Amino acid sequence: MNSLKGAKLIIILYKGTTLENNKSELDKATKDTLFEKEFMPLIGPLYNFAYRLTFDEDDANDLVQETYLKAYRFIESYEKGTNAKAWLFRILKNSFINEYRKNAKLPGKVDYQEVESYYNSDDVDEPITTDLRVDAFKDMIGDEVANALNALDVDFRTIIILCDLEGFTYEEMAKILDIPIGTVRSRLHRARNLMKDKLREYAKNMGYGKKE
Amino acid sequence: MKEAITNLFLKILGKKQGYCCKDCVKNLYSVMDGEATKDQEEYFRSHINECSPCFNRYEIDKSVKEVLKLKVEHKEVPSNLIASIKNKLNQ
Repeated sequence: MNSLKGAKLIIILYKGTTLENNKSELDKATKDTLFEKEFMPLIGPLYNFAYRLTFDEDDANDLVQETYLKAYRFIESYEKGTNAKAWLFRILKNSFINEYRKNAKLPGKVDYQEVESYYNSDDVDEPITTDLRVDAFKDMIGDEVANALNALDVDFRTIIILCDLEGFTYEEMAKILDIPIGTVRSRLHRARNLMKDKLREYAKNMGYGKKE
Repeated sequence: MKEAITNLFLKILGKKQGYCCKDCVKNLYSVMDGEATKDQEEYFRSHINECSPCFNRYEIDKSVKEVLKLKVEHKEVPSNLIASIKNKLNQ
């Protein structure tokens, strides 16, 4: 039994090496330069993304580390001059799903099918709010906007981070998240409405909960 | 004071008044996120000059987006993280 396992392992290792040898066109110095020049400068946004997904510094550390190790290992599949940031964000998001989400104390997955078909249907009318004072709004609820973001379910939080904090295009988000652009739009739409629901709750609570 | 602030918030965020069409909301986000074509953007800009629900909705959503960008705390990367990544790579 043990020898069988051993044999399997050898086959796997062997396959691994040949695969790598076949693919490897870049020498180590080129890889290192690419890594240093194109990938390492993105550590700030990646760390912040990881932290906003996990809310834990150690987990964020691990996630970023794993992302960079994977990026190095798969550096051959990165096409130079393409969007390194989107590529790394995609690796990080996939690592998060694989490693963290399954164990997590994180909220369960939302049934998007339902949400998205609702938002794509024709009979949805949007409530429109009135009487706006943008300046007052900005000063007063900056922190609450951040809190509202953190309170969102992870998938809704993710789409807002990617779009509003990191400025990815819809097409880039579709690639990072492996979803069609239509789904990017509807998820963003839903996430923004949820944010505003939370802000509305805050406004109501403020009327009762805050001392002069 | 407390009441005045609350009323303001409720005005900004709470009242559900006025409706416009579904396409407007879709265009609104495209324009806001820089995804609209030139024609879509021109159409939307002229539309919000005449449609106050869409104008208000656009201003609110745009300011939430701006506030997010401005106010969400930026965490510093731990000082040993880069070194630890390079260490692992050289192993």
